[in-house]
Amino acid sequence: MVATQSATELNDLLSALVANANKPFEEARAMPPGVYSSPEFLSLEESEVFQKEWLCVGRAESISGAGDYITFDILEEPLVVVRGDDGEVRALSNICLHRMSRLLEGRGNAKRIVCPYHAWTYGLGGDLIGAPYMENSACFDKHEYQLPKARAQVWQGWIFVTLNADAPDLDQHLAQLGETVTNRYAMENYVETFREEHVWDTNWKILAENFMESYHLFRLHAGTVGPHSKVEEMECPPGGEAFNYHWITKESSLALGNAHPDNTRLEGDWRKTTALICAYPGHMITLTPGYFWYLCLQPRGVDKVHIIYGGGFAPEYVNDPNADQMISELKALLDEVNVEDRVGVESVYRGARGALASNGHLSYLERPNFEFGQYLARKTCPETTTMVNRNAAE
Amino acid sequence: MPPSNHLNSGVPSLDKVLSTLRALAEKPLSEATAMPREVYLSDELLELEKKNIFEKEWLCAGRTDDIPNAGDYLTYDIGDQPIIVIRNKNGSIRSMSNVCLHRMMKLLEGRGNARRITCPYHAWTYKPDGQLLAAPHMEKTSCFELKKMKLPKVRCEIWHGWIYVTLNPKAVSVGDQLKKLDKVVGRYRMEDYVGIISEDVEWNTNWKLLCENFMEGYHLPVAHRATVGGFIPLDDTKFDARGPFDSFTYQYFGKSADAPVGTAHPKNKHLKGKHRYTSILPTVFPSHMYALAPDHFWYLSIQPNGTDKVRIRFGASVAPEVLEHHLDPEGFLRDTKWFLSTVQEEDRVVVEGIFKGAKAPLSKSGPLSWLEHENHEFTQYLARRLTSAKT
Repeated sequence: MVATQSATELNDLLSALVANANKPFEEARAMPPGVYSSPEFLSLEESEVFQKEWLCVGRAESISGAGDYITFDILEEPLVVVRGDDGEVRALSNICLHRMSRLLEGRGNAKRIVCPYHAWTYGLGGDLIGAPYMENSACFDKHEYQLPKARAQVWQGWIFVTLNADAPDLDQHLAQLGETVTNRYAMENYVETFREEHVWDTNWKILAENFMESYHLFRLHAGTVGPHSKVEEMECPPGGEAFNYHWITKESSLALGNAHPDNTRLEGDWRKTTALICAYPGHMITLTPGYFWYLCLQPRGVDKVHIIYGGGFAPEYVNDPNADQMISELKALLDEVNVEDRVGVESVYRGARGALASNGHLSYLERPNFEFGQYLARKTCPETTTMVNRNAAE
Repeated sequence: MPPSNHLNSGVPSLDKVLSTLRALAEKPLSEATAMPREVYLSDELLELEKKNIFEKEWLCAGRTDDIPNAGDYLTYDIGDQPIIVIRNKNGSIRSMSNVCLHRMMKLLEGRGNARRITCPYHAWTYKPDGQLLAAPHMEKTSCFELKKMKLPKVRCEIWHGWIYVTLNPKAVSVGDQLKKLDKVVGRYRMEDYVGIISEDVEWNTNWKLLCENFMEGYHLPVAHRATVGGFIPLDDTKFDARGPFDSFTYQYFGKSADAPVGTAHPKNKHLKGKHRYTSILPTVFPSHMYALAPDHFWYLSIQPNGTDKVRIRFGASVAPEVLEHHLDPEGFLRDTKWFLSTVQEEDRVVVEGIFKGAKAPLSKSGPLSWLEHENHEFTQYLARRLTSAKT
């Protein structure tokens, strides 16, 4: 009986999501409150979005040497992304083939992957090369053991992994994002200088949506970046099937925000234009001519979001004598902004749980949020959303 | 689907829990036991409590003197619903949803004074009556009409200085529900008492264990022997023969004449005879309880946060003559706060301890004392609300 009731509630929720996604943007509302608190909706997101999509792990240059690795979980599936002796980036299952211990934690460099439990030892390609005290186990043949692989690809410097064998290659999947937004910045040459992991008490989408619009800057960030932002500088063009974005064009208050004098790729206003990108489902990038910072989001239950938070320079700044000073100033400012965002998004989550909560109309500055709702409608109920605008940018 | 919870291993089905509760409620106090352990552990029962009790009943959000001036507000959560209680220019008090009508941000936090309520996210701005006044950068959104947007109202009633709120549009008014308590508390004039403490805390116990702890003086000479326990002649405890009542229960208890607190101040002229050293202990179901003495009261307003956590708003007030005529009011306030926090800590140790006990598979609830009259009426109240309207 309980299950039937939940099923009805989920159907109502999906209908509301689809109905909103099918409206013209000028009439649209924020997503219905239930998408942020329903465990059934989360299950659907897990199976239809996070198990199927390409998810960003971080930057390829942060694992530049053979044996450099980053551990990364897709929901409950532990993976390790490691650069092999051949220079290839691979995603291996991070679970020992013996008694299922996690193999590696955090990030680092390893010549061999040695299980901390009984020292079963793997090569960087996942092949088992040693298993002590197994010589009396009659059926054991180490050559038959190989850590399972997930798909891993690098696109413009970003490492993505997926559990979906049928997902289209990244070059194809993100081609439109490159053409529309990122190619001009040559993002593949940017260099990461910091990377952290956090967990906040909010639904993952609330943090994603917070990143998608700069409408809130003047208010929520009144103590930091708000006073430097003007809505006239913001532009929210339609995105594509795999991404949304908006632009902010202005002289940066930080030296690092503008193109370096040695940067000859960007011309005119592009030298002071920032792109704020969401590659669905949860890879958010702030890309400026001088620096970038990013978030990679995954749900951990309806009420928690796991966050990878990183950033760094455009290549021209790497050799600048003031680079370290500039990046530490930038990092300090971003940390302050993040504190404000955390208060905001944790508070929205508490608001959205209220029985009297309702989803209001969106401003013209929230087009990416609207498209994010359309994306989720497409993924969570593909049969009923044939009408949902699939190629908004075309 | 109720959330999975390791505490639920070995907990009987909801039907079983409810039939046990019903059978217990039908017994006279002389044969009754405390509620069985599963009542404090069952996730399914908690869901039913939320639906049949906390979404239906009046809950206490605080005191009118917490928000004395126009624009003063306090915030409170009814379950997952954040609300604002605010005083209008005309002096009346109203309550409404504390969630922005745009992207559902919580509008206000804690307490304060606001002429306008401005959302901290995108600055949508509301009047104190909840009407949306301004929403920047919404001029291109075609279906959006400022005038149509108003924060949903929440029912709010004032009774002897208490602010009660409910999400239930059909709830019988507080005054009607508490009619038979009116005279009993009226003689104390608690609406004039002056608030000195108001805090929110969370403890690790089931909400009902804390309620039950507050309902009986039986534990005072033991658990509170270092504080309030020494001055309470338990044999003077009395109950109202008119009971049981549907919405409340209470008891009288005495204070010995040499008690440092709890008796009428010499300047108190309205209490006569034995009432000058008599206190009452009302429980307004489900979870508003206070110890009302001739010179002070302290109160708890309690809500579950899971089966194993309880959210508590607690406060204390003193009779106005006590403050007016005190030679060292600041010292008095300091000492009183320290004293009450010590009593609270004694209670926390007990009720968290009982919850650990209730989790133990070998635990069994024992018979009640005649001093635990209110506890049995609480059992009966729960049986009424949880077993009659079960859906």
